[in-house]
Amino acid sequence: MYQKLIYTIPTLLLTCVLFFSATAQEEISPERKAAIDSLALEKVRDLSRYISIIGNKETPFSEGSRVIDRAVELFSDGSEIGVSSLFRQGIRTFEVRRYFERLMALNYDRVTIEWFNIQYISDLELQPDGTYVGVITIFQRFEGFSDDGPSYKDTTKKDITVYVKRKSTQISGRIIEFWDVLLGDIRVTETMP
Amino acid sequence: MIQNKFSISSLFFSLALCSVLVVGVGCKGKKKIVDTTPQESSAAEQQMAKVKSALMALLNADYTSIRQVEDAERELAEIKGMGIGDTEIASLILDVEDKLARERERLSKKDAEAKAKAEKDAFNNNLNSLFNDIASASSTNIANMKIEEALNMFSSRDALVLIAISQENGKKDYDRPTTITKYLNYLKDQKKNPNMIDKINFDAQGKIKELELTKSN
Amino acid sequence: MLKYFWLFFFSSLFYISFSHAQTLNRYLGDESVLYAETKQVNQFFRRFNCEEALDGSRYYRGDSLYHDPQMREKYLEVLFDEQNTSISASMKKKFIRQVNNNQKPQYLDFHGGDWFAEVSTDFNYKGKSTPVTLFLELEEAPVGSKWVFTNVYFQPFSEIFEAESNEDQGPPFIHPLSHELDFMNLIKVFRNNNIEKYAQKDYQPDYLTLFLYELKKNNLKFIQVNKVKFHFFQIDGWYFELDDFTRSGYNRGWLISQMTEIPRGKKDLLLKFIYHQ
Repeated sequence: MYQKLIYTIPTLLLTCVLFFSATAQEEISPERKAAIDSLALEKVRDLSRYISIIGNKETPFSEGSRVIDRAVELFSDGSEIGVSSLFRQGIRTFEVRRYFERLMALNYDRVTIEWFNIQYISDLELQPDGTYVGVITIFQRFEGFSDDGPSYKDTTKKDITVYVKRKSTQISGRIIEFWDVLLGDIRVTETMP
Repeated sequence: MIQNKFSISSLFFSLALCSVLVVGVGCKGKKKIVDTTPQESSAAEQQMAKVKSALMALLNADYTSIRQVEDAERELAEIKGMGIGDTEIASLILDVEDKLARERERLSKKDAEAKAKAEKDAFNNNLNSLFNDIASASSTNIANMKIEEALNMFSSRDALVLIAISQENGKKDYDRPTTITKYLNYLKDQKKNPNMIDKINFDAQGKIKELELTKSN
Repeated sequence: MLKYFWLFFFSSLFYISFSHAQTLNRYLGDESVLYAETKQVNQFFRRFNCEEALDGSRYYRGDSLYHDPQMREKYLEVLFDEQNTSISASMKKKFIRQVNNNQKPQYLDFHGGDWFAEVSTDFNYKGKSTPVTLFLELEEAPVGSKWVFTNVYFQPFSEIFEAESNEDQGPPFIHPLSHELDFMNLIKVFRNNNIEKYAQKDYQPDYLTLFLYELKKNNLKFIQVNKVKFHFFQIDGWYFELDDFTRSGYNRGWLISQMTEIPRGKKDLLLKFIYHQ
């Protein structure tokens, strides 16, 4: 009995250590990091496209609502967008869904989002809950056209939080390991090109 | 005398050689050879050598198509039709028959696989071109029609779609699993088809129940 | 002048390296300034240490240019606020020579401590928007790391605790035989506004606790962050401040805005100054 216990305790300890090192201390190889970076960047580009659809007057309401749902799915719960302008004091913060709904209500005849050919992707840092966090910085020019009025345009720097977590799920008997890449808070600052 | 002695010994030697030949050849084809003259015997030998080398060629040939196997089978039938009663030839014939049967099976399998691959490629191309059509549709309505068309190929609107983003040590890393309906709408919204079809799993009705894609960049 | 030539060279390199990039939307014209900009604090660290290529892609240990002294020198030269004349050319040179020394180079370490953030915010206090300065440090956790509050500067608190004493006869005190009278003199002590003068000599008011108390009492309500800057003490014998500059030209983004040599033992004095103590 004692002997059994003597063997069990170190085994349990070893299991705990292995589990800990596998979940928390796993180093992401440069190749993997590159794949995650490009996946995250693609989600940022997808978001940009969703914003163009949502902001376009010709998008039927039902399509707009569906696209808002898809855009919201890119984010982790509770994400917010904080916007500041060069000419106005303070930051206006919107919960992401609210931000998209506002954009849809603005009803531009057409929205174009042009990308500056540059992005900066930070290192991924581990947070206390085991999720990796990074920031992607992009620069964009937004232009909202109205047929019967002046168009609105701005050039902004967007610092976008990216959460990366290794997850696994069991689908029809096999384990699928995947990277859950979700966008988080976005800080939008007006800048000059 | 010496000369005479010599010619007697050489006659002896020739007889001995003949008997060795007769005995030797007789082991292989007693009936034929026994009644033949030396001239006939040499022609038969030549023919047998020819047949043997033809059989060896059939045995050692590399067959790359069923047609080649069929040609070989015809040649073999002709050889068999000659009715050469030589045991070595009989044994070679058995070897060739064996080899041709094996080759026929291997190549039929290969052909079947190639056919299946061609069918699969055609299916994949068809699915991929539907994906392209959705991504490049000129209107939402057209895209939605194409989506419905594509959905018909799947066992359910929620059929699993996996997208591999990278591979390390033979293990694939995926993006978050999604459903075919969401994926098709993604193509429509994003107006791009950024992934390649990698693997398709069908259900018993031949509909796609699982689609595995790979990032093409 | 040479520097600007180099900057131009630098930015042209950026431009060329990206001109073949995949395009999804129409890209915009001259982006060289955006390449030159130190866009994240993360990029400041990487440029300072020479841990990334001109296009921002990461160098890893073993890559030929990782920590390369020549390239690092070029990076270091562009990490200063050019418009601040108080950072002299000779001071910059000395600093660069020290950190980029071939024998004993010094690098910044994100997880190395000795650097912290100063965040200028607005809170609603008693119905009025009032500035609050928060100080945060990166703290290592059992898994990963996190920013934690270490200190706060809130003027109404300082006004209460740092009011000049108007006692003519020096600081007040509770005389050493008060205990014999059951401290009956406390009645006079508590009439005095400068009650902290009666505390032990190394007493320091804990503004963070006060701040949290006021928050919990709902007397303070967060409004927004106005500005963020960083204070670095990681390089031996030096202090520098990192600020974000939004302006035109190449010299923008996260740049060293203040710098001074700190003699051994003077760090605490500087810290007190930063914390407004």
